[in-house]
Amino acid sequence: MINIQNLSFGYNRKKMLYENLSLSLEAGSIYGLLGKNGAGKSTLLCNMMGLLFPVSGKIEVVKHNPQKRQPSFLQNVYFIPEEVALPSISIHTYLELYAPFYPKFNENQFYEYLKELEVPNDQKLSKMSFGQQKKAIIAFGLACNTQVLIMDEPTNGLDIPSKSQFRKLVAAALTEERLFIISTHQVRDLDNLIDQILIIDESEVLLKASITSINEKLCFKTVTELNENVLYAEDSLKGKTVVAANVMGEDSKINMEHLFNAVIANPNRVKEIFN
Amino acid sequence: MNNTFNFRRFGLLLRKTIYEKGLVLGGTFILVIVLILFAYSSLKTARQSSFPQSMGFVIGLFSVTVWVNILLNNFSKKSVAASYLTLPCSHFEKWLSVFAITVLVYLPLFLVVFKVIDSLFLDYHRELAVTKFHYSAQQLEADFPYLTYSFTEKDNINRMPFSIFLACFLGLGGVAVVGSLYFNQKSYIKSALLFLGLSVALSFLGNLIFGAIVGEKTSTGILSFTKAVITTENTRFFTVNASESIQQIVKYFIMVFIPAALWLIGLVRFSDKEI
Repeated sequence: MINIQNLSFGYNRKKMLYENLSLSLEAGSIYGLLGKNGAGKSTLLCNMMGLLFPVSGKIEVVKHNPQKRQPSFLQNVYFIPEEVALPSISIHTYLELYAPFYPKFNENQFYEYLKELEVPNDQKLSKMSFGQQKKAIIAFGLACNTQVLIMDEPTNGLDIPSKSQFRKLVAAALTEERLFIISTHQVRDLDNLIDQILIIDESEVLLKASITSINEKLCFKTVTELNENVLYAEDSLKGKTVVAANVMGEDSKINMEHLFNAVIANPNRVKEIFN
Repeated sequence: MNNTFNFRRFGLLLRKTIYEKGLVLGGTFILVIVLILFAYSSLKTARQSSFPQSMGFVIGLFSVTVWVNILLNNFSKKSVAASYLTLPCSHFEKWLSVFAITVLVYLPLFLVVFKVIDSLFLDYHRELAVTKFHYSAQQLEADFPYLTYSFTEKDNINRMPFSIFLACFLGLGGVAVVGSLYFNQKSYIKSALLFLGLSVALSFLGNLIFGAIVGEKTSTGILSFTKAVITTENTRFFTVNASESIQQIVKYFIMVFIPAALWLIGLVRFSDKEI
């Protein structure tokens, strides 16, 4: 559904943010795009949306070149930016003005999502708190039923109950035909939500793997002594919490934060394990 | 699906734009009316309609740049720019919405209101001039010509023919479109400065080149490319006019080509625009 071939992009031609990045994302999955601050997550998403143009390489999203920003492409993708700026109109008016642009928009779903996220629908959008605005736009984005939904730091500004509600709604909205990309640096917010992980750093994809494959190849546990299989370790009350190569086929629960740290600390080892 | 133009999409875009920006556009229009009324209040003491009419033209020309700027002030914040650029409409539809609102809606509206104000004030002052100050019919026509006369009278240098007003209206509107699309921050000030700078530079260059050819001190005036005043050493003045065919070419270049080119650059820039 999204194919990126040899993408090179930089705000400055002398210092490229991405060079020859290739990536393929399939429908029916929720991808978690993880990276440090300034790693280029938002830039990559903007390239996918046609808001920034690559210096070289090719991007194809739902069989369109995003750079052309054709209506047939734009009505099949929806982008929720990190900062939302909504007009000074009510939710009902927003719906009246914006929903007709999206042929698969479902009004009942929208109001259901608003209810679930506890967004009052009798206020002007600009008068709402940042968190409420964000939830309103998440509800709208989900109800558009576009093939691709891209969310840049969607949980920023959301309170704890809203974060769990967000995970529930996103997971329920996914179908075999849709693809969601969620970029965040708050990796814990994506616990139990994503089924594919993408970690980028220093202009390259360090890890692209499914949760199943991560469970097969890595294990997350607490040990007292470190061995050569350990990729990352962190002191804890009971000893050392580690991420290690899963040589014994153990079952464990993925700790996103530790996984992220392990990949950043040992990119080459991780690549070896996953290739 | 037609990715260039669709009536339904265009209608939705117009509706959205007018709903979101109508209040600010309306406020600007009221300000324009107040300023014109203020100019016409000078008739009480000046008893000549050339000043308020000229001021009305200037206000009209100035206000089109403000209208365009309001319609295209979507790029100073990335979130607003992302929402605008990813709205499922073609570049042409977005461009056409700006053209339609400024040229097909604002221009006739401005002219009608200007004409009504002019008629109301002039009717009153013409009657006063006849009854109280005993003006002759000839004097009345000379001092209180109606706006329609000012627009159609070509020979009177104090008047502005409609064709010149329209060319200036479209030209300045085009400058504002291009400026709004090229400069994300403080686009209005930057475009105004650039326009003024270019005008002065062109005039300076014109004088310089013409002076070098003629070998005398010359003055061509700002943006007047068809005549020059030559001052010789013994302070005699000569006015040199270009041939009629050259005058026609220059006239069409300034009045048709430049405004059309500016609006077309705006259209192209819509497709190149990044956040």
